[in-house]
Formats: sequence, structure tokens, C-alpha cells
Amino acid sequence: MRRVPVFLVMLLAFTAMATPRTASAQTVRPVNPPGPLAIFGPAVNPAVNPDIVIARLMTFDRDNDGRLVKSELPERMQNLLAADASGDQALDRDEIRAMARPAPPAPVAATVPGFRNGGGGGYTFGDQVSLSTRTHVEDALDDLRLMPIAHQQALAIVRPFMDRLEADATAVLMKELEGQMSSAQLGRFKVTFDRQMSGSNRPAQIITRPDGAKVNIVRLFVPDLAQLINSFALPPDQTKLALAAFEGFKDRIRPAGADREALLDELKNVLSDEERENFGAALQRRPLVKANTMFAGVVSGVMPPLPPPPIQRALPGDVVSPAVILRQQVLEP
Amino acid sequence: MKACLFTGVCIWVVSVVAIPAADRTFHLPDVPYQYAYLDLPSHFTETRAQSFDNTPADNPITDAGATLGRVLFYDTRLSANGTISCGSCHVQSHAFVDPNRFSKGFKGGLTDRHAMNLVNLRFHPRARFFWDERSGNLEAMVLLPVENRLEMGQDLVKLPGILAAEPRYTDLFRQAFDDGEITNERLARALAQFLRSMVSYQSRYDDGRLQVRSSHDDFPNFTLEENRGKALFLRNCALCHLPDQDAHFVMTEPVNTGLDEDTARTDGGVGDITLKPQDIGRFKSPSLRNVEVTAPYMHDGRFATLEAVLDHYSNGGKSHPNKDVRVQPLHFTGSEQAAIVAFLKTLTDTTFLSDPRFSDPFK
Repeated sequence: MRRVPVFLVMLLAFTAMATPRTASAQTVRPVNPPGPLAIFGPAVNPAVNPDIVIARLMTFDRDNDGRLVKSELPERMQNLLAADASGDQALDRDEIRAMARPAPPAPVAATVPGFRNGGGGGYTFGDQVSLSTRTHVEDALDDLRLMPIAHQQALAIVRPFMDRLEADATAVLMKELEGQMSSAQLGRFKVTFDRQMSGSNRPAQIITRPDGAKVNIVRLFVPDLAQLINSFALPPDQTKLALAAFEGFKDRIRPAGADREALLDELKNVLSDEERENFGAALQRRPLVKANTMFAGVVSGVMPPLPPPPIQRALPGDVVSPAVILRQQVLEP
Repeated sequence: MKACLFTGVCIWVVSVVAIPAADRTFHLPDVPYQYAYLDLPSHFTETRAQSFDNTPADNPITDAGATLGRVLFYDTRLSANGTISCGSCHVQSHAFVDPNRFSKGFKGGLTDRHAMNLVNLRFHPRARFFWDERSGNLEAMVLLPVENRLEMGQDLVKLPGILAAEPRYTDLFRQAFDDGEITNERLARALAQFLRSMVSYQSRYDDGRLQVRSSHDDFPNFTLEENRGKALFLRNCALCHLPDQDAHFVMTEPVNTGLDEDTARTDGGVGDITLKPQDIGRFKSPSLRNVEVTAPYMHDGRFATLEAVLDHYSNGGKSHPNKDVRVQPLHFTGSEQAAIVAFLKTLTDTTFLSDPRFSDPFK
């Protein structure tokens, strides 16, 4: 069965937003700044500043007089002369700089509390918001379009391989964390960790947002374990080591480097050389996912009942961080 | 002396061979073609795909309007010396691109960018056009090449009078706009209607998409390689080129794909229009529909083949401070690249490429 591409939600945060606030409703408190998750999106790159724009335009200054007249500019750019503030029918550096100055960031109009501009943009790597590396690996196998028998044979190798990879990585992680946190904290971490590792693709469900729009969401329950570690308020050194242990775990469960070669080697009798080459190339890629909407907050207490399908509930103290990603499709805006 | 003689002969040959614009006549069918109604497949009509439609409320496509637009599109009177029309550089069999890297203007000068394809312009949701998105809608876009001093060089003040010399234009304008008055605004609206009517939706991809529940399912009309290519495309390319729907292979924003490292001397694209530093090197992307026949590729036609384009993305492009984060090295293998190219060729719509509704009525 084909897996749904990673589209995603931190269900509980959404529900907390979508549920009208009543006396019995759970409170949502803001949390500390986002964790290590990188959300890419349109942003002003500090390396690109107005001086570059001025330098660019001055390449058209054929007579090197520091002024751009209409005949020096390509026709498609001649409308820029509308910014000639001095009225001398030419653009100088100051006039160009005035046009190139970065605009102040536009205010973000959150149409729904917690939603960035009703569903903003941005991208991140799928493996940064999900531990379901298996999806990527098995999708890469799907993409080879093997004959059914060969596909089953390959899966019979890939799945146990991933089991071993994850078991080994988990053992290392827990051992490393043992030295950094109390047994109660480790237990708390394990509960959330197991839930994430068990896979969290949820069927799509239509939910009515507070603004009345119906939203079709596909869920992936991804509590941010790094944020959870931060919330334990360990001494700084221990927090650093615990976070490093978790980052190391995320690297170890990806079949890269020697693990990738070992997996490809195990597949030698099932896949042709070309198929192994293609599979290996796909394993090297880090698929990007769209982060349409983000929400940050801490869910405390037990969430109110939700409509089917049954969904795991957040536990008191669960951290809902920017790793919470919701892909929304407005059906009836 | 010899040179003079040669030049004289050349001038004579050109004057004999070139048919004066005023002597060209157009031929329209007795029963007008249908442009306004399209029986679009379901993946075009679902809510998200429909939201890409940029048709303005005050200029819907009409059969008469698009018919007028078609004649104007191919009429060489729109150029200053009557030698070229829009269709001279936007060739139907090439999905309305110029198969040459750069196009020849009315005096023989060359443009510095490749002519963009005109496929499914109706479904560009930002409704901004040209490689640098300098035009805010199709109605404004269509007249810019007409008056461009290198491309068609026509004087827009004179143009209505020039067209009025052809009596049949009065009829066409009357059918499209109630009375026969010829204005540049009406001319632009008619051309925009014609361009919006150019919808490609009958490719093998579309046939296959109709036979399955999801675009992720294997299409029964595809070969194994094409289905593999589709899976690879959806996995690695669709985030940009097929955003949130299955119909329009367009990007919703201009992107810097790492074509050039140099921020100062290479074509700045959108950045040269907005003068925003973060826009330098960003370019609009045309639809991938019919991409098989729209070579050469990119804004300057630097890539002659689809394989060369895929090599670029396989390597992840060059370093540039504005390079989009989605442009990551994809490390395609040879067979993956071949599969993706095979898939891209399923987007070719031969019906569209030879549809008489979009053909030159002067032939």
C-alpha cells in the first residue's frame, strides 16, 4: 500500500485551537523559542543587500558617469526611471538605494489563532519533523517499480534491516540519555519517543476551523523530542549532551554511509546493479516537505474527546513545538 | 562594388519574397471555433486547480473575442515594418516558444531571452508574466512586445489606424465588443482572451490521470519507465512544479534555481524589476506541459535538452545567496534521469500542438 506523503499535523495543538475555549477546556501556554527545527521559507538573505543591487545596475552605466539614463537601461527596466526623485532624467546611486531598501516585514495576519497567516509557507526536510525514515526508504523501493515478487523479496530484507538499525540506534540513545536524566524523565521521554517511532500517519479528516472554514487535514503526530528534553530543565551541560544524543539518533536511523552500503549489499541477490544504484541514489536524498502551518504551545492535561478515527491524546506535559506541522486544504473557504 | 551588387540583390530578393502585411489575408471558418467552453477533465475542475485560473471578471473568454485575438496574434501588421507577428516567435508546433535560443526582432536584432511558452497561461495563479514577472496581467502583457523597440517596434498610437485599413477587422471588433471601434485596449483584451483559450489538457498524462484515483497511482496507459519517472517526479520535482493539485505544472512563484553564481553581471530576473536584493536571479517558470517541444530551456535558453536541465538539478545548481532551498542536489542516476524525461514527454499534447483553433489564419 502506498503511503501518503508526509503531510502533517500535531493534532493536539490544532484541536486545542479548534475547540472553543470553555472553563473546562485545556489551556495552551506559549513556549520558549523554537527548537532546532529549521523551517525554510522566503526570507531576506543578509548576504544579499542593496549594495549588490546598486552594483548590478551600475553595470549598465556605459559612460561611467554614475548616472543611469534611459538609453543605458534595457527596455524592460526603463520603468525604473519613475523613481528619479531629482528630476534629472537619470538614476543615481541614492535613488537606486532608496528603491532597493528592504521593506519592513509585513505584519502577519493570523486569520486563526495559531495559524500563520491562515496557512503560511516554508519547507523543511521530512526527517526533521518525522522519525519515519522507513517511509522514505520504502518509497524509494516503490519508485524502482519492481516486479511484485522482487518487491516483496526486497521488502523482506529492507524491513528487518531497518528494524535492526532502529533497535541499535534506540539502544545507544537510551544508554546515552540514562547518564543525563532521571529515570522518571527517561520514562517520560520513552513514552513520547515510542509513540513517535510507532508511526503516526493518520487518515485525512475534515475539521471545522474556528473561522468556520472546513479543513481537510492529514495528520502526523510528531512531538518534538528535542523540545521535550529542553523542558526537563536539566543542567546546561546535560541538556547539551542529551540533545546531542538525540541528534545522533536521528542520524543513525537513516541508512547512510556504511549502513547504506550494507543495505545495498544485502540486496545484491534481489536487485540488479542498476536497481541498487537507483535505490542508493534515492536513499541519499532528503525529501522536502511543505510546512503550511505552524503552531507553538504547550498542551497540559488531557485533550477533550475528538471525532473518529481514534487519535492518540497528548499527555500532561507534552510539548507542542514548531515541529508541529499542519497541511491544510481549505475545502470551503 | 561587388559588395554593393550583392546587397542590392539581397534587397531585391527580400522585397520580392516578403509579402507585404497589407496583402496577407486571413481565413476564418464559416462556423466560428469554440473557445469559451472547454470540457476540462476533473483534475482541472477540482477546487484547488480551479483556483489557479486568472481570468478576470471583466474579460472572460468569448468565441468572438478569442477569434479576433487569433487573427491579431498572427497579423504582421502588429510590427512596425509588417514583417513579424506574435506567432513568428511563438510557434504552435513548439508549444508557442521559439525553437531558436533567441528571437529575431522586426529589424533582425536578437532578444536576450528565450521566448516563453504560452501554454496554459490562464492557469498561472499570480497572473504575472514574462521571465521577470514585470507584467501584472495578460491584458497588460500582450502589448509590451508589440511596442518593444527590438521585438515588434510598433507605434501603439498608430496601430488602431493601421488595423482599421483592413475592413474585416471592423467586423471582428464589432462581434467581440458590440461596436466596431478599434482601440488598443480592446486589442489587448482580445489577445489576452486568445492566450487564455490556449489550454493544453489532452496529453497522455491527462488520459492516465482520469483512469486512476490518485496521481500517485500507476497510470494504466504509461509504460513502466514512464510510471517510474512519474513517481520520481512527484517525489523530487512536484513540490515546486505541481503544487497542491494534479493539473497545472506551473510554479506559483519565481525561483532562483542556482543557474548563476554571479549576482552582479548576470541577468537579475525579477530582481531587476523590483530592485529587491532577495529577488536577484529569480525567474518565472513556464508550465511543464509540452516541455518536450519547448527547447531550449531556461530564461536564456542555455540548456538544449531536457537531460541538460536534469543534470542541473541533479547537481543542485550553482551557489547563489538567493538560491531556493528546494534546489538540493538530487543525484539522479542515468536511468532515473531517463525515466523522468520519459514521464515529461507524456505531458506532450499533440492535439493542442496542431489544434486549428490556435493556428495561423493567414496561411
